[in-house]
Amino acid sequence: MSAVPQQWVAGWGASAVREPAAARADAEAQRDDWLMQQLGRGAPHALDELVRRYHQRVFAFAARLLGSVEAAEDVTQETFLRVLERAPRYAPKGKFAVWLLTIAANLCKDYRKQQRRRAETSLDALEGTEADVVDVEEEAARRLLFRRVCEAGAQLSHEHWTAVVLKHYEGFGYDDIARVMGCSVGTAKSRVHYGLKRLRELLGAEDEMQ
Amino acid sequence: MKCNKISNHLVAYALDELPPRERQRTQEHLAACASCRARLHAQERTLAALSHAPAPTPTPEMQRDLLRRLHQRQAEILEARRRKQERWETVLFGVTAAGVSSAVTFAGFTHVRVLLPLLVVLFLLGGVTGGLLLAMLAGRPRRSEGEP
Ligand SMILES: [Zn+2]
Repeated sequence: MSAVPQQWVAGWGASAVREPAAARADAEAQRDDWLMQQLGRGAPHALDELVRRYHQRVFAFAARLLGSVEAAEDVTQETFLRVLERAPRYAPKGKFAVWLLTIAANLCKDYRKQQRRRAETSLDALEGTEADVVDVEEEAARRLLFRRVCEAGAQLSHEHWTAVVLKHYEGFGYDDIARVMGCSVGTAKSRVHYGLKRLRELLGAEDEMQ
Repeated sequence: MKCNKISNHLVAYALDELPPRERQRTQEHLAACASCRARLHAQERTLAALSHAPAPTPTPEMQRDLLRRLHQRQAEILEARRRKQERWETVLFGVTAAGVSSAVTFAGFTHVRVLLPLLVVLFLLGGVTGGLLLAMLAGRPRRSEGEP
């Protein structure tokens, strides 16, 4: 694709010589947009490549938000189905990952609402999901940590935990978090800060007891 | 600054988001206050715990399942799109045929000098409309095909 996307033409800070990491990110973003264009035209290879590129990321995002692998699998599948259906109308306005995780975040929100109605959690389902288990003991400790983190996250409101996950694990800036959550940048920032403070009280308190 | 206020700033401090002046004032307070230092360490431990918690990985079967469902859905979408296009083509053909036949019937009653230009205009209009409709049906703008 030879055309330079609009968001890099307008705005401040776009220098002629880009950092290698920034250049790589640009190339990745172009690839995403091109794949979505291909998917909109019905190309099966675009579907394969998008899944290869983003399956792990969407799955981990949903698993952290919902604390359940089964739920994450459902949400991930639904997310990609929506990507497929919306592909013909996809207009690259920002980062593809932000658009993708907005879909996933909304589905997680719906899922958690339904889940609260059914009042079921399935953190136990996390057992046996890691494909490459090297050291059993270390792996068990890591899984335990994952459980603790998810349990603490589940004690926050869904908004606060989503904001923390987007910031800490996805590395999103407050502007992108605001886009995903449909709130102002200030609200996004205060959600992240409050969420992390609450986690400090929840996880930090546990540490002191140990 | 009071401990209360510092406590609210500790996340921003740990994330290195404080402006220089507030950062310095927080540092000064931390140097003098053991309980706020303890809170900062708890905050740092929390961030470390988040970082060390592993990313759940989907199994290869999950990926196979996902791809199977997606390809199935894609085939359905493409099939529906093809049917819709066929329907439009049928409608378009019908409209054109009706236009031509009524023009020919009309020709039976009207003087050729009036009719000939009218027929030409009708064909032109039909052609343009048909072209536009087909372009709309093809749907997608013709953009650069190059793979990045
Ligand atoms: Zn203090």
